[in-house]
Amino acid sequence: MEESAYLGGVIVGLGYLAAGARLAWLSASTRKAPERLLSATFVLWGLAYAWQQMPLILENEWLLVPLYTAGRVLTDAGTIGSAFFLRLVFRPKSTIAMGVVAGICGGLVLGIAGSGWMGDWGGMDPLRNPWWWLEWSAVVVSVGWIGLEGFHHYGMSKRRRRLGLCGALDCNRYLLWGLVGAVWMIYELAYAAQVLEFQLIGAFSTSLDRIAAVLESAPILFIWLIFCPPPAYQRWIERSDPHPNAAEG
Amino acid sequence: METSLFDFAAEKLERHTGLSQLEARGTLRIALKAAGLDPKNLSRQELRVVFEKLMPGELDQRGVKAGQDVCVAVLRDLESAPIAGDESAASSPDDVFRRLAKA
Repeated sequence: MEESAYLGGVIVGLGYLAAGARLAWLSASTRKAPERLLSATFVLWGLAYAWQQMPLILENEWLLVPLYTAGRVLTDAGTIGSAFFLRLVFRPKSTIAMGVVAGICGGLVLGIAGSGWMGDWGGMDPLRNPWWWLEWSAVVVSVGWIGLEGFHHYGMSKRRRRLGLCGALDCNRYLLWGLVGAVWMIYELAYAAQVLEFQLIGAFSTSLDRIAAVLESAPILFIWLIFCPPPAYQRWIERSDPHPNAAEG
Repeated sequence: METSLFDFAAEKLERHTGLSQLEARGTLRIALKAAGLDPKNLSRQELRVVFEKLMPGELDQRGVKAGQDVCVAVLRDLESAPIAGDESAASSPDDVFRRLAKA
């Protein structure tokens, strides 16, 4: 791993914390569950990044396992929040969706508990620890769900757009949400490759490290464009809209 | 059990066209799919647009005569529909994402 590898993690963590704080501020006035769930998710992910970068910043190996474990727990807690958000916003009446949420929660909780039982609290021993794969699979399902909902609703919203039932920014948000899930999915594959590589050769290769850093950073950019789009970006989306007379919701 | 906007509109469509219940519900589902709408999460405004812009063509395709008049009649019924409230008014994904982006 490169000397300054933690910098990317710190920036991504701060990005999540800022997005979470922004949504927490919104939820204080609206008191609605979706913003509460998503703000909790982003804050937990931001804190997880902070905990996991700490041993690298402090160059303290003794802190590695405890802080990695804490980061892992926070990441999984955030992932549970995101699964409840998906169910609440996209499939509120679906029992199948509730089953998927239960599966994600079960996979994450059992994954960590099983890892602890195997003595792999930090989650760095996937070759010996089958529970690591259970936890990883639960995360893959959850980020895959984000991508599927995003792209599915992007397709639907394009049809609504033609009839003037939603705005260009509404469509774009779904596209970005789909990209968030898709990039996270690829990141999870890269992450698994990275952990396996570390276990096999005892080091992180620079190339895989850089790929993972890019895949890790891209979603935070998309999240900011969804929830805090700069005026110039909004104007660009509206200008490039093929149905400019349709109403913005 | 409370009648949904979908059930109400499908029943009116059946009544005004002479289509069977299955045909009327199926036709409405096809029109909603073409409009990118979820039958379980509809607002009056969305149904209005579907009946104004898409349903006449769907009825024409199925050999229903005076499809435009049928849609006007269903829209008139829709105005007085005894539906508790627009289910999608504050809970559709569009609304949630819009709200989250306005922080």
